Amino acid sequence: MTVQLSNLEKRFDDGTLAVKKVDLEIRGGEFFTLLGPSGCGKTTTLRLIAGLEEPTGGSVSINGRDVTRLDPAKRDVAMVFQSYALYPHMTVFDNLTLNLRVAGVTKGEARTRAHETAQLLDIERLLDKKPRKLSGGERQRVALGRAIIRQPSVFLMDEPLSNLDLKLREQMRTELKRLHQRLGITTVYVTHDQAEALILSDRVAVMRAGEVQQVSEPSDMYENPANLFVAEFIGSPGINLLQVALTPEAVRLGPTVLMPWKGREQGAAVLGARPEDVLVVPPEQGLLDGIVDFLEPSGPIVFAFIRLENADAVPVNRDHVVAAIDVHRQLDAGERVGLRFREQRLRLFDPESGRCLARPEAPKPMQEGVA
Amino acid sequence: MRSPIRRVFDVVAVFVVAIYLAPIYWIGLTSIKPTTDINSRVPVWSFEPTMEHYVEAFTRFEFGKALVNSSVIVLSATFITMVLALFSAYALARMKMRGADTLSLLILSLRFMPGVVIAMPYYLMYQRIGLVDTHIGMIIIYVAYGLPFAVWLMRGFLRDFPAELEEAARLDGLGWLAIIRRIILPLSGPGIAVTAIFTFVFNWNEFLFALYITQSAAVTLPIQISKMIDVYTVLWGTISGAVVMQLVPMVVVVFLLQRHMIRGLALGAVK
Repeated sequence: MTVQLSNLEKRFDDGTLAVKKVDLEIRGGEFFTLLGPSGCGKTTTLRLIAGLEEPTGGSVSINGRDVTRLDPAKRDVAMVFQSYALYPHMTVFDNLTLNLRVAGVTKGEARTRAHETAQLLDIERLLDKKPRKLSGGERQRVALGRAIIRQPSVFLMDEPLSNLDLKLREQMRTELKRLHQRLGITTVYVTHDQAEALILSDRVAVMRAGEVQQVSEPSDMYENPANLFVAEFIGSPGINLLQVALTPEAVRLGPTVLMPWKGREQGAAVLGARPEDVLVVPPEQGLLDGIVDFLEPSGPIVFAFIRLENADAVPVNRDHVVAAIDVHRQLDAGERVGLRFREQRLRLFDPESGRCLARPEAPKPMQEGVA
Repeated sequence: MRSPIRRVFDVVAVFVVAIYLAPIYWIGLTSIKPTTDINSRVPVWSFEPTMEHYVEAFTRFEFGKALVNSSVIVLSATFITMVLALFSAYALARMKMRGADTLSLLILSLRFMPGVVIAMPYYLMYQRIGLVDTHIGMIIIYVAYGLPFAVWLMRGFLRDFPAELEEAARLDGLGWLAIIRRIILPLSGPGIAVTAIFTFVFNWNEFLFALYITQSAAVTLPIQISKMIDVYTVLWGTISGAVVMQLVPMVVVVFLLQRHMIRGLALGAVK
């Protein structure tokens, strides 16, 4: 079941343009995530698909059928809300089966399906309880169950895990993935958590200020960001950005040649290097010099926060260059080090537009969405 | 141990409550005192309790008829007001409408108008269409006059109702009427209770419109009680008995509904 958004636009009554000309095609059976900071229009986009908001332009099609003016109930979509929105005065059983009964399903059939769904989610023993007796994780499961029991064409999920504590969130994340693999229902998922998006999704759309920045598979999103915003938003700790100059044959940081350059663009640019592409070497072997300020152990790897000593080095987004190093490597705070980069993995961005610059000698970044 | 400041507050609280309760206590006492003791110059504290004033209210002053009239008029008016208020308030709270705020304020401002200004026009209109001294006439007035405040109060409660619950219901296929009946109504106990109490108590005690419109067939309690005062005598005992009987339903209503007032709105719905 595909979902197609064409030229979708939503302007609220107060004049704010929450969604600007969004074109997306969500494929059948896909786990598709709308990712972005708060206020970027991702939730509004989801609500437009659900029919809870009416678009001020463009159209929504589900499985080839134009549903733009259709009532939410007639779109064959089910939604999981951030607050779960369980009916507090009804038992879990009634919460699950309300939509079936409204749709005219017989009592016996509803009972069978409620038990099947409860079994799938391991909430059978909760069927007679009221929502206020349930824990956060249990409420989450019931909310999922209410969506699953309908066997809709599309699942819509609005930050469903954000109210859970960390451990439970990781557990539910796995559960969601398992459910999706098992049921194979097209899912549109909204989150501001990039790790969640990368782990769960088949494809991710990054949004900013109502516009889609890039649509990619998670690995591609990480490797080949379409612009500075995406590069910074994806990855934790974030990408290192340095101001560099493009000259006819080289990318320079001050007098230092970082790597060769054969592209058309000249002048100022921003260089992006992921922490794992920053190599910490003995001082005499480095292109840049730095001092290790502090270390952040993170399981198998340690993030070294290094302050650059080069006079011309101007970090764009933070004071340090972050390098990911192996946990077994000996490195101390205060140590003087040299830095090199994995050349093929570096990305260059236009400082004005933020657009990723094509590198003639490197494989061209793949782009599916609008940059 | 409680702190000295808390104790001072306790004393003040008891004092304030005493001030409020003293007249009610005195009325209750007067209603069971023999007439001679009521009229004594020095307050009498020990006396032979009597029910004669209650009996007299029923026999001489048709208290029973007024009680039935008041009950019919006030309960009908309150019920109709609540139904209309619920729907209007829902529309004003939820449906996207230009100027909903202005409209709400305008509706409430109808209530700023002194009742005495419209009592006379009501009488003149009712005279022509034959509604003077009828139950239906009084119900219409109470609904019309009570509705603005009820709408305004209910709108406040409904605006606080979690929107996601309604949206979930919409996705589950419920229409707006079903949403009101199956989702909002069962979860709006406190708001409905508060609004119903205000409407009921206002109508139950209303004097001015009843004075203009009712004479005998539809006479309500406050009017009937006022008839116990004439140019020659004030029947304190009978009045006290009648007042006690008028108070009882109000106290009962408030006690019945206060449980719902305290109960939290939409428990467990939203984290």
